[in-house]
Amino acid sequence: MIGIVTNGLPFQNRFFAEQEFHYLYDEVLHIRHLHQYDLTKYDTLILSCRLDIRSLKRYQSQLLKFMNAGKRLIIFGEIVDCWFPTIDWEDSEVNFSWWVRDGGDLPMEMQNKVHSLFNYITLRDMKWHYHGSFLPPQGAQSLLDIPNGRSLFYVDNVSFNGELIVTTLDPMFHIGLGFIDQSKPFLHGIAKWLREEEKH
Amino acid sequence: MEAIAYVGIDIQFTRLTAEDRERGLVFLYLYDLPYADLTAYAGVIITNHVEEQFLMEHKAILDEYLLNGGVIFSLTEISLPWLANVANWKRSPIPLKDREIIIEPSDCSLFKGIEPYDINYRKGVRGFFSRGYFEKIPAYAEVLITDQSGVPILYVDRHSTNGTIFAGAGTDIYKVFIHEENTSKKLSIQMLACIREEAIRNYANGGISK
Repeated sequence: MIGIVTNGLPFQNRFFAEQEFHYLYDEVLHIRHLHQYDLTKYDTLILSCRLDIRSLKRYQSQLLKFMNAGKRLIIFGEIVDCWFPTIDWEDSEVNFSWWVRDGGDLPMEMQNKVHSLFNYITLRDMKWHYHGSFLPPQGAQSLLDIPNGRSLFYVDNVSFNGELIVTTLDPMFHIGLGFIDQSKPFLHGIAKWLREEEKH
Repeated sequence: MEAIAYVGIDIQFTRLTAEDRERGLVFLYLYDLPYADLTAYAGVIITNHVEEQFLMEHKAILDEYLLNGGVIFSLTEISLPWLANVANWKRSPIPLKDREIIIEPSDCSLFKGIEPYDINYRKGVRGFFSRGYFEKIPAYAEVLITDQSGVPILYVDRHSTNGTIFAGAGTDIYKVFIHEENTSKKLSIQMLACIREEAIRNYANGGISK
């Protein structure tokens, strides 16, 4: 069972109206009422990008309890105020125009290429822009690094009893707003991987 | 300098800088709205980072503020009727790379001295100003921005209420252009100035908001 958390923002509402992504999740949970949900029934919880930080802090212990029960938590977007333990986030200037410049590039490199997520996601699917980066904890696997060695996407199976997946990428935002073509194949890749994982 | 409220949930992109605060902008946490007295502000900017259902539940606060001559500048891609006579946001069928933002002739000083190119492009990329439009606008509203198909993207409505509603279909025009090195840089300052001008005008006409 996969739950996804929303804040009811306009772009989030439009994302949830997209039929093609309905298979990604079984239920939608509202961040404002997170205390009213029984999280034990979910195997995976997805935190959509751009959720209210004050609410995330309010429900920090509930989410940590979920993680330590051996579940999977996937967090998209910025992690400010260190709201979730172990996640080391650093802001960076957004390079949104590299692709309109002659010979422009946004350097990034896939890591741990044998990870099963890469059966569903290509480098191109992850390459649009980013607002910051992470320093994964010791033992976590980065899937995508930038030249300074920091990560845009990592899987942490060591810090908690469960699995924490973190990415700076914000596909729900871009799908809801209707731009950044790569955001759709990226999120479809994650959805297909999650549904395949359910079979094991 | 009268303060102007900037309403949103708390995320990285709604946090204000020292420069914003020096200009009199005050962050008003969306979920604190029921406890706020909006007449303390010259105006209220409602960002696109808001939960519309919550605004619907507290629509009466906004209505009363406007009844008292308040100024609301909405940047929300609206899909619920929480702001007087503002129609739903629609995604433009014109591809972003082809869409042209047009500044309409007006006495309103919001876009004064701003080159259309500078709000159409940021570092060669199009589409930041807005990705949509309004299905319709209220009677007597003044359209300030359209695209090449003529649909309204930003307008000012001084007739639906005792106050003033600026409604923009999308992007946060306070923040997006604030650090550009061209004429669009002025937009954030002119936006605050416009809100304060409207507040003074409405106050002179009998409103109680400042």
